Amino acid sequence: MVDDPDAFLAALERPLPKSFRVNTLKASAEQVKSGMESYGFGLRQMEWCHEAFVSDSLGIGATLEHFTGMIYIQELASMLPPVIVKEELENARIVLDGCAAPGSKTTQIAAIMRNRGTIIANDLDYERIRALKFNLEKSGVINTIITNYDLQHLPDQSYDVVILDAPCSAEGTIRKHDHIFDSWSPRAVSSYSGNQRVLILKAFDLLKPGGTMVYSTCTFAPEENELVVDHLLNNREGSSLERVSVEGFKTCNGITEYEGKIFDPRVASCVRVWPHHNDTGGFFLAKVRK
Amino acid sequence: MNRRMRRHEDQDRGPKKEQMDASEVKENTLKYFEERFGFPRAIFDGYSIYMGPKGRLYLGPAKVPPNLRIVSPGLLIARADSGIKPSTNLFQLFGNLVDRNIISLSKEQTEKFVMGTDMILSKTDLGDASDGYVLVRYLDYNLGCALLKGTTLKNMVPKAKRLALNFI
Repeated sequence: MVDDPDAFLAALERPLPKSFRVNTLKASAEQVKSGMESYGFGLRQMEWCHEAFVSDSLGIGATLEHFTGMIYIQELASMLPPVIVKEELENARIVLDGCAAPGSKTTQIAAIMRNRGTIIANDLDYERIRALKFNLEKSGVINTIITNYDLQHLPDQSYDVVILDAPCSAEGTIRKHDHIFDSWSPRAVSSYSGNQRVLILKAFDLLKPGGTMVYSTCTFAPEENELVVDHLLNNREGSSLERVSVEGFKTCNGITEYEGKIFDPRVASCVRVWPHHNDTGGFFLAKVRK
Repeated sequence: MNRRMRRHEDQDRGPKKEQMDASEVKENTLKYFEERFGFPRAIFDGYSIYMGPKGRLYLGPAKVPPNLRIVSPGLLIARADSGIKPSTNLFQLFGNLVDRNIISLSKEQTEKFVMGTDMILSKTDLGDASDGYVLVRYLDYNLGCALLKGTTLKNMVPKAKRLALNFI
């Protein structure tokens, strides 16, 4: 599956770069850049998202910019779901973030929507909702309602955009969480996959005709990625995929075959993010149209 | 009236909520924000104000699907259970629009303030600020809310937000 296994394994051994996103509800990228450079930080601005920066200092959490919510500390790959539907979000009136906690994507969506329209930030885990609420308020998010449903049972409503960053086995976060494989098992992958197949159908059903959904995970397992998207394409007429591309960010196409199973050829339009290509965590993204 | 209540009355903490209904509380809060801090009402246009428990007021989206059970709506902007206390998060978002009752801190004072420390100010630090809630700033950074009484600045930064700054 991987183009360069040695480079892939070497990347997993390295710690993740320290990255953050400028919260444009409170400050511009230029303002934050000049403030943080005055502390002597070396910053690299991402070509594919002008609000995204990598810092050479470990101290980004102990700055005034962090205290005042002008920046949000976030892994680069996790910024991708809102980035690939930026235009849709700018025009959206109502958006669902289906598995929202702890809020990195919700705060990014709110910034893209300039705090207008409505976001429903839902999460099943009530404990994680505390972190979600804290992060939304710290970021100055107004246009968001927090709900606590099992997404399967979210009351019917039509959304312009749905973000489904699904609970997953999180294999792609190994650079951040050394012990992620302690809880990993083929059974866990299979259990996540079953849940994801239920959630992706529900999320699709919540879309308005013409609406857009992002399905994403931070894992490598095809059972939780292409197989789930294949399940959607097979079970919902009117679902289609849009090719995901992020200018200046290297991605690979979704795989169309795994362990003898042939997927709908359209799943090649999904993308896999490998850690060694952009020095990030691992990620998977699909952009679905209704 | 006991001493504690009198002390509250001496300061400009906005009207009490006694026997006020929700719309009155909302109206009084906006009026207080406008008079004490110069917040233009227009910043609240296009949003709804929600009332939560313990006098908590939230600024949230105007349009919400009616069939949803809401856990939390938008941004906590004030607590209006005993006087009106603006939230630190409101000041950090809209602080640039405040034009009065501002306390500007030095670098050293800022380091203490963000850690949650109360402090005694010199008279020259006070500027035009009068007793009551104030916006606290360092340069262009809106740090949050504090309660000024005389030269004492009582810190209102929520515990979860407090931070030891290494870079300023």
